Amino acid sequence: MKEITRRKFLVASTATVGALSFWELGHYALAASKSNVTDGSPQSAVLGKERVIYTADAFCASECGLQVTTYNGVISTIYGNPHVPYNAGTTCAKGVSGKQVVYSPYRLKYPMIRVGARGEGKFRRASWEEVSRYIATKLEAIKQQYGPETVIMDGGDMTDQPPYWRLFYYFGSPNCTQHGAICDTPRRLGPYIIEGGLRIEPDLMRPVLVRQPDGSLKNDYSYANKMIIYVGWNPFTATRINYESRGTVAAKQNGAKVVVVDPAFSNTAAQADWWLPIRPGTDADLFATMLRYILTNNNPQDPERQYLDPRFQDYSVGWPEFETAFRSWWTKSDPINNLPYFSLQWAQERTGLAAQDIATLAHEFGSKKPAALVWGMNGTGHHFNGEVVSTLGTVLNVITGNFDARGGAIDTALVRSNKGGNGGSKQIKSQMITRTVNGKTIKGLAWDLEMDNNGAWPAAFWGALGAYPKQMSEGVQINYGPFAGYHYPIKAFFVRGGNPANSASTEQRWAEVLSAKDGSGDYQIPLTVYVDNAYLETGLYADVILPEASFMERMGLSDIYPSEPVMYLREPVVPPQFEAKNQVEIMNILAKALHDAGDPDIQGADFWDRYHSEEDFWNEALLEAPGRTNVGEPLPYPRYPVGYKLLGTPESLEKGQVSIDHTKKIVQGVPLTVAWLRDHHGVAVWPMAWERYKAPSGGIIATKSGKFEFHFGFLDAVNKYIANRPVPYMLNQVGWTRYPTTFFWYETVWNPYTNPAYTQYRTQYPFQLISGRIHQSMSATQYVDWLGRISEEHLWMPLNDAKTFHPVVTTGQGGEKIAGIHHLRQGAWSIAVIQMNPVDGQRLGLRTGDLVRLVNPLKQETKGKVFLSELIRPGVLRVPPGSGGRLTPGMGQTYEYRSITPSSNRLLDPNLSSPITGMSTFNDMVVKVIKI
Amino acid sequence: MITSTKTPSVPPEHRKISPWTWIGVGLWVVVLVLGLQGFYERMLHGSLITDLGGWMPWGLWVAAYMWFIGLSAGAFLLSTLVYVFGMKSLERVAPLSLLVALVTLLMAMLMILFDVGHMGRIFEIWYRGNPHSMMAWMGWLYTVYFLLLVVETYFALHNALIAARGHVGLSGRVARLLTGQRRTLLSESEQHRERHITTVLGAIGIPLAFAFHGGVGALLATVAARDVWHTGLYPILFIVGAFFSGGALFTALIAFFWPVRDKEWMLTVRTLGRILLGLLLFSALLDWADYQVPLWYGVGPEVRELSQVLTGPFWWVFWLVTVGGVYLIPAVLLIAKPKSPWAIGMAGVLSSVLFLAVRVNLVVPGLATPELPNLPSSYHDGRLLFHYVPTWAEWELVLFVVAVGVVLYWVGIKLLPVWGRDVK
Amino acid sequence: MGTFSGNPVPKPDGGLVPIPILPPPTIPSEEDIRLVMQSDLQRALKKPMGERQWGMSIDLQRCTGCQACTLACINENKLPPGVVYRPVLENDSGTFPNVTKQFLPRPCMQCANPPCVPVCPVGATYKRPDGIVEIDYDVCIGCRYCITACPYSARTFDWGEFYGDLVDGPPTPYEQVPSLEYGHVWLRKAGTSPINNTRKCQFCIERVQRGELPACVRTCFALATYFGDLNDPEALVNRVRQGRQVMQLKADMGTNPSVYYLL
Ligand SMILES: Nc1nc2c(c(=O)[nH]1)N[C@H]1C(S)=C(S)[C@@H](COP(=O)(O)OP(=O)(O)OC[C@H]3O[C@@H](n4cnc5c(=O)[nH]c(N)nc54)[C@H](O)[C@@H]3O)O[C@H]1N2
Ligand SMILES: Nc1nc2c(c(=O)[nH]1)N[C@H]1C(S)=C(S)[C@@H](COP(=O)(O)OP(=O)(O)OC[C@H]3O[C@@H](n4cnc5c(=O)[nH]c(N)nc54)[C@H](O)[C@@H]3O)O[C@H]1N2
Ligand code: SF4
Ligand code: SF4
Ligand code: SF4
Ligand code: SF4
Ligand code: SF4
Ligand SMILES: [Mo]
Repeated sequence: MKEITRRKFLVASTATVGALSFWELGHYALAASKSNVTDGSPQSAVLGKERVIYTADAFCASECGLQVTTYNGVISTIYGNPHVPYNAGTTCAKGVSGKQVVYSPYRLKYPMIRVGARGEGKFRRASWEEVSRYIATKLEAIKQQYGPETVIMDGGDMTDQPPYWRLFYYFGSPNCTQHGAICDTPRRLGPYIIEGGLRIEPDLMRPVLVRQPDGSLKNDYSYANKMIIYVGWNPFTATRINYESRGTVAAKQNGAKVVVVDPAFSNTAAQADWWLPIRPGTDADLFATMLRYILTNNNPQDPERQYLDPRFQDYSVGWPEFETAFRSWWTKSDPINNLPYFSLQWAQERTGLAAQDIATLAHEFGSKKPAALVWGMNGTGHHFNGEVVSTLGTVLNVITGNFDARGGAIDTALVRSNKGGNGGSKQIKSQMITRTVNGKTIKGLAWDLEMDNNGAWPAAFWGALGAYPKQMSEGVQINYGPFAGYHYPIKAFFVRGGNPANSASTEQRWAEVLSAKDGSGDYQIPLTVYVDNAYLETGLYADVILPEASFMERMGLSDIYPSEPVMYLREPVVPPQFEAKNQVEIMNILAKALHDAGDPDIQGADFWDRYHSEEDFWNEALLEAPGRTNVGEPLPYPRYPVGYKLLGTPESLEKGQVSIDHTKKIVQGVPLTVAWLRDHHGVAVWPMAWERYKAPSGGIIATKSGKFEFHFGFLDAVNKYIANRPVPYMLNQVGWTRYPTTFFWYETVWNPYTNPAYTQYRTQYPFQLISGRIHQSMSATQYVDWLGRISEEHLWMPLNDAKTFHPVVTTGQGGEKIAGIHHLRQGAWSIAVIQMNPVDGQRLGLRTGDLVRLVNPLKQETKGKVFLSELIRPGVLRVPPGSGGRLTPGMGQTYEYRSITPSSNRLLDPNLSSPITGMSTFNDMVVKVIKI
Repeated sequence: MITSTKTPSVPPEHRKISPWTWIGVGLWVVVLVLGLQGFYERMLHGSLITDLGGWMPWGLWVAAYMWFIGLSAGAFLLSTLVYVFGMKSLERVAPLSLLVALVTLLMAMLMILFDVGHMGRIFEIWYRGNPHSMMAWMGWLYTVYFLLLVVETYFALHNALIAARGHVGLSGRVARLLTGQRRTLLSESEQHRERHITTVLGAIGIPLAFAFHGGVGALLATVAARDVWHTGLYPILFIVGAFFSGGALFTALIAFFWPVRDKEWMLTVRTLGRILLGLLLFSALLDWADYQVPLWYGVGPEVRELSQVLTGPFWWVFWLVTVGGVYLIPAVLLIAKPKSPWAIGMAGVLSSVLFLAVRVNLVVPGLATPELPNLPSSYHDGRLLFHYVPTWAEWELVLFVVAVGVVLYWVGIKLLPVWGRDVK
Repeated sequence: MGTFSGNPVPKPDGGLVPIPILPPPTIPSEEDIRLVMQSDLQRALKKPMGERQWGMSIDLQRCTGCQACTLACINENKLPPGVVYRPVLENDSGTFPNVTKQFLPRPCMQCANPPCVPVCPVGATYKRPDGIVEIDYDVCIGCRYCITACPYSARTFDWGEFYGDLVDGPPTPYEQVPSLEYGHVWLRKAGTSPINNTRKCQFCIERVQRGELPACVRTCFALATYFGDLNDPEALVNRVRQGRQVMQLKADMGTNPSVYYLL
């Protein structure tokens, strides 16, 4: 700035005088003399009051590294942290909008206690002392009368729930869950049973830190990918894996072919080379057919057809069993179309894609290497048979040699840094308890009472939140383990950072169970506590509302989905506003109250005397970072033995400031701390490598055998577990008496194109209803003004009516209308709409903006406006999740449009969840459309 | 030589307050009260009270400004028929037309002042005006025009003012103030000389009026970004429109406010009526050309905007107000009853008042189509929309300007001998 | 707790903002493109002002339509309701299944021949020697003539609204943070500039002159926007255009925009 002094300007201007007309120059000279910014100028005074803080986002589970600037202690700008390779300095639209969450008038401000009926939304302001006493007294009474397991702790969709879990595990409840349970459990199952991981993503994160032949560490920016197939996965909008945005387009420009398989032409499809508009719920059919094609047409002699990479067999067990089981289906014919399973023709009939296209896709995936086949949550995981998809998908990546190949597919769960810490699970998994089952006193571990694993789905190891309404009204039936036959009710529901009443499964069911009363007129669940930033539906049913510090006001750690170990700090940027408190404080306050109420299991040494600050808590978690083994190509640390677990700061590992434990195979450097991160732009990055599963000493694969398992060792264990016991009831539904131990197949329920029993619905309910994400965090942030100002994906469009209303803000009484009025003009705000193909619109005489009712065969319905769009497959309707029909004034302007916006979660089958993981089936429903 | 004597300034028959006057005053009070409300809102909340937005930044106020300035130019050009072209039949009303030009000029200035965001900075135009800018030229030309009008009015009224020195009351005092020491009426030769000055000023004024009002057309027409505006026809359209609407206003004033319903009045009104019909037809022809040419083959960038005017939600502004109110009904009146001063006056009222609609339909459609496709669905805001309906407050502020204009006019005719009666 | 303080931002009088230091790239030509652009612009800043021409290249093959740039700009420049500098336009065409969708971010084109400039009655907007079309908020009378004249709808007006108005409340805390457009301090208060002024993208010139990339460029999720000195053939903003089909918006108008789109 100094440079534009007047003198220099004159020099510059004489040089360019020829190029500029007198007048422009004259005006510029006038202004320039004024706009000089010199020392002590107001501008530098402003900049002098700015502070930069490196922190991490939590707007979505991507948890990007951020560089936040404050001015006078107020958040001024939000940029990506360029030192975090995960997002490399970028953010998405939500990330940028963070300050509108932090300073939102809709934020919860004070602890509150319910005064009206549940659901009515009447509260009074209370002190933290009062609410913690209130909660502790009730919890202790419940613990005395029903046992601690009757309390559910739902840690929501925020990844920093360990303080709460710790509290409830120590309290004695095994029922701590989080929203991975309604997110993508089916899509994780395949990776989990085959290689022990969770999420397979393309190798697109750049830069990655790579060991060079000369021993140095350098940032690698090159893309080796040749093909990327996104199936029901829309990373450009559903920004969960941040680097897929920049990586996909960069890889494409570098020659990679990008394919999107999605009934809708998503934003990701917009930049793809090829879009395959598949019929919803038929991705398993596509994958199975690709696999059949690859197995049939593989030819090691033909360079064009070397689909299989035979080396995968060296690192796997059970492939022959899998292949045999898979091939055994080829001769059976499908009752719905009489074609042999997994044949191209069969797939064409079911997926609605051309047989030739499917063959081409399979051929290209098999021959263009490295490649990655990636499937998403909604597209595949939110269907009844999502587990089949993820299993086949994982198989396809592995057998083609793409797993953990450079430019191939990486299971991020296997390679990211550990931030284990002690969330209290060690406590609960070792605590012995006794219960009386059928008159007999049984001893077992507190963990054995866990409601999901021991109840309806022994493989619900990530929880089955979507099915909670059922268990809340019927109680938990323990079917397996030492306490088999034990039954207990649910007596308290503690939910933090999640809004299951809107997002988890059928909305009405949640409302019903949360406000259900017993014979004596008391609530069946005597205590519900809602810990949140915003006043959402679940909060309406709470007895106590606790305001939590927002993600800019508290500490946490991010380790999310990079392809190499990266750990970064969520540093508080501003102090908590109003009476909000961070999780560690809340944990300590509640722990103390429980202790004071006489709980013997809660002691200061485990809580307030152990963690004096947030930093203490997270420092403990950092002790386990990065926690990955020294394997792969190039070897991250050639100076350390291969296969040893690495612990400590990147700096200490690099410099050799370590101690090596050869018995435990650990290289221990200087432990990573919050302070270290703070001194290093908030981030620690350890080196990347590929082929990390190939180490003889055990690579990254986390199955029991340490190899790819196609004879699923894990399911073996489950089978043993349930031997001589009734089969989980959902398994009956798909016709199984026990878990399959290798290739398995079952159909989606609410799909008239694949379920022979439901073909009648093709004509009566001619539309399949799916959802797709927008610039929001599911049910949470539709009140964020900026995000309401942009439209997206023909799902969130400016079709609002003009409306004059009294704005609502949250106060000590819950949501309260305030005196003023606000007028919202037509077309000035985006609302959730129903995306529909014009062909369908024409047939029904509908035009964009027409209000319709969607009715399903269960007679449930929702309302919304249609948006006719060529970007969707005919016969499919698509709505944004959590954006319509919102019932809480905490949603701001979105609430005002509740009667003209659709909620697909009102149309779900309340009795349906995935047979293996218990996951809600958000995308399996058929509807008819009735014009209003 | 006639010396001035103290005579009542107004003929006795004019003293009687007719019920029409009461209605007029009543109307004016209503307009003023509403106007004051608009004025208050504008001063308190600034541009916020408008329905304007970033995509449609100009609306009623700019149209009203163009309407007023058109009236001014029209009235002025009428006066030049007398002063420059020596048209005898309008001799009597020429000073009045100057007053009308002056008042409507001030109304236009007031209107546009309210439209700009920083009213206090309007004077920037004088000391740092940008000669590339049509708008800066407008500022300068209005200034010159204003000065010219003042001077010309002075000379046009000089003799009458001297004559009015003897009036009792304020008008006499104003006359004395304006005529200084001069007590005797102007001699023939003096009158001749001064008439020459008004002729010269009028002659200067003609290109000036063409310049500034053609300039208003050019202000829009030079904007290449707006297809509807960007036509060579606009400046001419504006000049003719000014002639027409200004003439209409003037005709109405003469028809209804001429102090005595005498023969001369009748003749003047009929003359004006004929002129008005000519202007109406010419203006209608140009308007027709302006719409028909770009629409003829149904392709091209303006088709959408113009069809929108004709068949969009505000079709009635075009068909009912403009075609019907400004052209058709007045034309029928003028043709069917060429002799009736009432019909001619009504035609004048309709054409001049409703001419605002013509201006609105020139300003707004040019803005109503996104310059880039899909701009409307990119970022949403109550101020980033492509539909504009003037708010009540916007109308009120126009009423305020009208109320002020009426006062100025009333003060003018009360204090200045514009009817020129006393000269006789 | 050492928190809430953070580190002071490098002051402008301390020279240019330091470029983040990352591990060296394996292939020197494949570096973090934002660091490359930042050093490009710091190099340009060493030249006399009139010898550099700021420009942008936006790669439409990379833009994912995420609109982070739109909001990053609003965030950086503290834009109120009603004002937007960089909307992202979405153009869909075709019928199912043969459809396309293209995203087109639209900053101010900083036209070489800007039609918005000559119309300004008071010369409040002008082309600077470095190519930026500036608006002097202290001079602008708010007539909005320039808004009508810009063929790209790049100009919008600051009507004086606040986000706090949406709930009928006072301005939100973040609306009390000044913006530093053109190197001045602008704190919006009723009746004072930039309220009632026309506003538009200024290539974040205040940031640029401190050696930082514009907010939209810095944020872009897909790294689709390049920024730098059009006069410097070595600058990435120019190199990325080589071998690509390049378009200027409404090139036929003769405005000669400084923003290039790579098709
Ligand atoms: N902006 C934004 N980003 C987010 C979130 C958010 O709410 N907003 N949420 C985060 C979370 S928690 C998650 S789980 C992820 C979700 O990330 P995604 O799973 O990518 O997101 P969705 O949009 O739900 O679903 C992706 C696509 O699946 C398509 N689809 C639906 N049914 C089918 C089908 O049967 N087959 C196929 N092939 N496609 C189908 C939809 O049309 C949609 O375009 O996003 C994360 N990121
Ligand atoms: N129909 C349909 N339903 C779906 C989906 C779908 O695609 N379609 N997607 C499913 C998926 S993938 C998921 S992950 C779930 C998500 O559903 P949820 O896990 O319920 O997530 P959100 O709806 O985003 O609600 C998150 C809650 O956390 C709160 N919150 C935000 N930040 C903080 C914080 O810092 N602290 C605290 N304490 N609270 C905070 C928000 O205010 C909000 O109440 O929805 C599922 N439901
Ligand atoms: S991807 Fe998620 S974490 Fe990253 S910036 Fe966007 S919202 Fe924040
Ligand atoms: S894009 Fe518009 S505002 Fe920007 S320089 Fe060009 S004409 Fe002016
Ligand atoms: S709005 Fe301001 S910058 Fe634009 S033309 Fe008017 S005075 Fe000039
Ligand atoms: S350069 Fe700056 S002002 Fe212009 S659009 Fe980008 S962020 Fe906004
Ligand atoms: S941030 Fe980048 S990718 Fe996103 S819309 Fe803007 S230019 Fe496109
Ligand atoms: Mo999720």
